[in-house]
Amino acid sequence: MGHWQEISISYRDAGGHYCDCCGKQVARHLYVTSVADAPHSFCGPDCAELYQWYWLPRYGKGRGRQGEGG
Amino acid sequence: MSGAAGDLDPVTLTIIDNFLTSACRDMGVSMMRTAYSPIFNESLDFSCVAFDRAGRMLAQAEFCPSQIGTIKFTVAWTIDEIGLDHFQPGDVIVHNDPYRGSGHVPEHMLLKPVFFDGELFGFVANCAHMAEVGGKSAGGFSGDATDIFQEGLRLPPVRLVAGGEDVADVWKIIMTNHRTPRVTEGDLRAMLGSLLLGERRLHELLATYGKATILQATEQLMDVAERRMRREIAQIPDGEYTFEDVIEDDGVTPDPAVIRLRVVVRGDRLIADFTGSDRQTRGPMNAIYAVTASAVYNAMLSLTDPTIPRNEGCYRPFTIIAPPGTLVNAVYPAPVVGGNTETSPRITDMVFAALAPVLPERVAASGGGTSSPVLFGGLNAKTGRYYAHFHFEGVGWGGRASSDGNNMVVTINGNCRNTPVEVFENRYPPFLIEAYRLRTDSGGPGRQRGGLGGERIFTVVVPEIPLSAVLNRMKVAPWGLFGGEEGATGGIYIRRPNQTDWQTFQEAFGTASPSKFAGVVLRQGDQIRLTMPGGGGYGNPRERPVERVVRDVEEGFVSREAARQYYGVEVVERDGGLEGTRVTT
Repeated sequence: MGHWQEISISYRDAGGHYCDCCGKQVARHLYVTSVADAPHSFCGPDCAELYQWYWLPRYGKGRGRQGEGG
Repeated sequence: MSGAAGDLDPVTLTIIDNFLTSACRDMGVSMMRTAYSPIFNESLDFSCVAFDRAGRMLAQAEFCPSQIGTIKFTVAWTIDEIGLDHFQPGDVIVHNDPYRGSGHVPEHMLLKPVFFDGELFGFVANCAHMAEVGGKSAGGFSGDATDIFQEGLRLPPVRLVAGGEDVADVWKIIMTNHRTPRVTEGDLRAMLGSLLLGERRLHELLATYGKATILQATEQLMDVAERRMRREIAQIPDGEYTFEDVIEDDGVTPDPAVIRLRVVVRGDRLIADFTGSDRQTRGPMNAIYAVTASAVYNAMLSLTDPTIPRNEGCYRPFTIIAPPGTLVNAVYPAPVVGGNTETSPRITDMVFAALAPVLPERVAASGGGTSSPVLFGGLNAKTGRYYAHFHFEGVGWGGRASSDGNNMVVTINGNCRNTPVEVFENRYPPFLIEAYRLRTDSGGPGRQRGGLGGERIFTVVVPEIPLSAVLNRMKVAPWGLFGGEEGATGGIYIRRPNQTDWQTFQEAFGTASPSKFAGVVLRQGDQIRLTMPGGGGYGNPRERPVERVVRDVEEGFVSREAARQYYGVEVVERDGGLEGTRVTT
């Protein structure tokens, strides 16, 4: 079971926060939960679920993160 | 429609759904009639949408598909960033930041909260492509941009109007940074008027039925849309369907960038997974996540029942996976202006191609695949005012099982129209249009032929004018399906007054790309020739009935040589007309 976490954002912060599963950038709220004993943040519970049944079996931990395309 | 106890009846639901859609259409017509720019009132490059207080889409009108998909994300971001409790009656938020969910910098979203009986009911919003946004070159389209800052003024979600009063400081910032402040203001006022109309329509609906009924109806309508879309997906065989395509160059480097798509269908759910796509490009061909998602939605809405209500529910069965840092989900500060015009239609076509084996009767071959961004801007010597314009040109669309591809229509992500020659020459002093026609043989041969691309020749009639372009399908041809042939590639060329031959911009000016560049200065007497790609063909061209090939030759769509070479039909003159004979099997 995860929980919603509010991101502290500043107008000086140019970077972004991305869902660990779908890659969508989130504005202010991340859904934080533990998957396979590792903490992850998602855009919502649906992606947390998708990460378990689709992402992990297919790509394993850590693949497809920022800048690893191709 | 099966109804549970307490559900509203289908007739009431349909009336409310149609009213909401009609309100969005009214908003669009208002913008079309009151805006200053041809990109609004001729091209219709805008969208109008209604949302509930949670930011869920309630209804949309049939304007620009790429904006309708992205506005879901832009609105959701705006509500989350500002906070629901901070909206006041009479506020209007403006927002165009791609790194907060906007499609690209020119796309400005205006959002107005709608209050009823003292409570926030929802929002009306519009999104429109502003003709000028500042930046390195007119219109924000720098074909050689290497970061977002060259693409114009970015506005995070801020109040343009607060409590019904203009926020003068924000207006001043915008007017100072745009080259065409008078036109920008006219277009923004048109957007504001459209929001007022949308708000009035929602008030009428709420007053007629009561808030409780409307809340119940919109919940039911979203559930209906979701159920119906899931039913459509469930009819697609479970499986994984893949396709790869390229963006031929990025305007800065000559290398193609590969997009890899895997469509996964599991029961009534569909995942579009872009994992493995190339890293984000140095030049401006990157899509942000919302653009990629919108392109997938565009494809799936084209492949499924068009009567499914277009609200939040119809999007629920889709998941888009796009790794950050790739050209389908660029991260700050990559340039992105071409992602929304060029990469978007490529992705839509890729979904068609991936699903072609299981939906052969519904998909189309590749379209011309470029929104044809050709932009210019300069000072009008007569008025002393700056002008800027985004020129749309029509491409050929791909052939499909039931018909040939459309000729010379703006690409699928835009649903826009071009600017009529009369308006173009009247509004914009630098060019005279010498020719405007269909390109013979540009449609890919097929049992159903690809649509023809257009060709236009402009002559420069002012001392100088800077020109920018972000074009694709100039090197890599639009593909055919099921034995259909490729459509023709396009091109943009220049001919100087003392020359007889056309040159590419690479040859004439040394640009990095032949079709993506920024602010190249043209002189009086120069001529520009713009040729647009054709659509891919569908099915074996030798199965096209002889009489249809003869008709194509009569119309000038296909030459006699191509009729013989691709269709195996010899077309000859006889008794004052044309007659065809199949010469090969």
